[in-house]
Amino acid sequence: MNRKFAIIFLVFFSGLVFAQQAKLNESAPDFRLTDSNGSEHSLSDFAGKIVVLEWINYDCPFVEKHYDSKNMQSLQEKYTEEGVIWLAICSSNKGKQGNFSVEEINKRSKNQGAKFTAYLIDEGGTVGKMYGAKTTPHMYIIDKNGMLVYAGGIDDKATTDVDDIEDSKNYVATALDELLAGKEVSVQSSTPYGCSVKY
Amino acid sequence: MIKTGKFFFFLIIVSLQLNAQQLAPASAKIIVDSYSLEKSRSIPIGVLAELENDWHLYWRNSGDTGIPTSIEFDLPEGISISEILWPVPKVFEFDGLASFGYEKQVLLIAELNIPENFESNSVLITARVKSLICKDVCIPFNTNVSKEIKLMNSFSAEDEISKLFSQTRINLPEAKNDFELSVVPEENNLTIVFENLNYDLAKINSLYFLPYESGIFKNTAEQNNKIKDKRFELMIEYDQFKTEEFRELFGILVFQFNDAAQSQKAYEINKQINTNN
Repeated sequence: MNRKFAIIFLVFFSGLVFAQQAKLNESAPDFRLTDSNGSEHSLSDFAGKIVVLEWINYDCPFVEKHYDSKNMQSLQEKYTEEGVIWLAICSSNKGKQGNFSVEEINKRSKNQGAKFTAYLIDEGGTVGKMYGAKTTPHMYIIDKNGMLVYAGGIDDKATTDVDDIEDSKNYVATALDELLAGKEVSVQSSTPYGCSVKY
Repeated sequence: MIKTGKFFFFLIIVSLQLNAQQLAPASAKIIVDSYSLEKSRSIPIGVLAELENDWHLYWRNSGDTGIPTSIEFDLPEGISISEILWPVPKVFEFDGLASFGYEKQVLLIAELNIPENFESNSVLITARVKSLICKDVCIPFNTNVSKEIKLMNSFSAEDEISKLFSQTRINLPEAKNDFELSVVPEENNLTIVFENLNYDLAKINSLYFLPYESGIFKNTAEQNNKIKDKRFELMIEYDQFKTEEFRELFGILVFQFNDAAQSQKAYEINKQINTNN
């Protein structure tokens, strides 16, 4: 009897996990996380808006590349001014690189001049795994209909060199410009590059 | 007084540089194997990267994380160099992610081609190594290495150097494109079916495919394989967000055998696939 129950439970549970995996051109899975100021945010709170998810770890050299150069902040500023919601998500587990106290997060975000809408803490890695986040940075874009329309790298230059940013093709900017112009996203996926997410 | 101040400043800078070198968890240098220009106009060279325990750097496809290691050579006019030969990488799996790379030590071999009419009696090679090294954290590993090679009719490398080259060559994938294979594509994966493999199938412990290109397949060495009706089937899942459609099998096939030494053999495979069949 117990065995039968366990099998039914496993089948049901594995179905739920499968259903929660993010897929391109499907509804982006909803989540609820607390930000570095203690406020809770759900993806569904931003229904009807374009949402960017940016996986972050301030100590990763690839994240440093895009923050020290102000590349990430200028994208955040430009697109949030156009009504885009920009959520930085940190899935670093306790004791792992990139897992900071909220005071440290806010201090670093202020020092960097970050312009994201919120910095969300995903210490258990649930949302990171739901979205298949592999690297920092790893970028996702959700359109106004709640569909996942981009997953991948920020650009096509998989290096830590700041000098490479200028000549790179920025996939996130291209996709956001297309969405804001009412067009379809032309490049929906690319290979993300960076440090591993520290689950 | 000013001179004394400058001297101490110089000492501090030198001391900091020495400490940085001692603390660096990786180093690289160019080494040269034995050659005979009388027999062949090519010289085997290699970039030897050495890493401290627990650190690794990446293969030509880094897998889920990291970045591919790249080497750009700067050579005198008239000299050319072959593509880098990449030994079979180790698969590092953690938290559901898989990366491909090397730990402790790796030699990346290439052949330097010296034309008959090359007039100088030496060649200065410079290589720009761009990589990332990781353990639980990652740091960029970008360095310039150079070596002046005096051209001789024949040169015998030290035993230790020659041994490094020969050990690395054993671990290089062998080019082989005569596998009898077919591909069965499905929505989330594809199955490669091998016919008439020239192995005792019972001796194969596992078989996995590592692609040269990233973004198409899920990165893992845990690919589902089975023997069925004297055929070997290898199922590879697509990446959750695959970047392009599968059109060619381009990478290495790694056979691991269940012998006492748990030996392995890899083949480079580059095969266009018609997925409509």
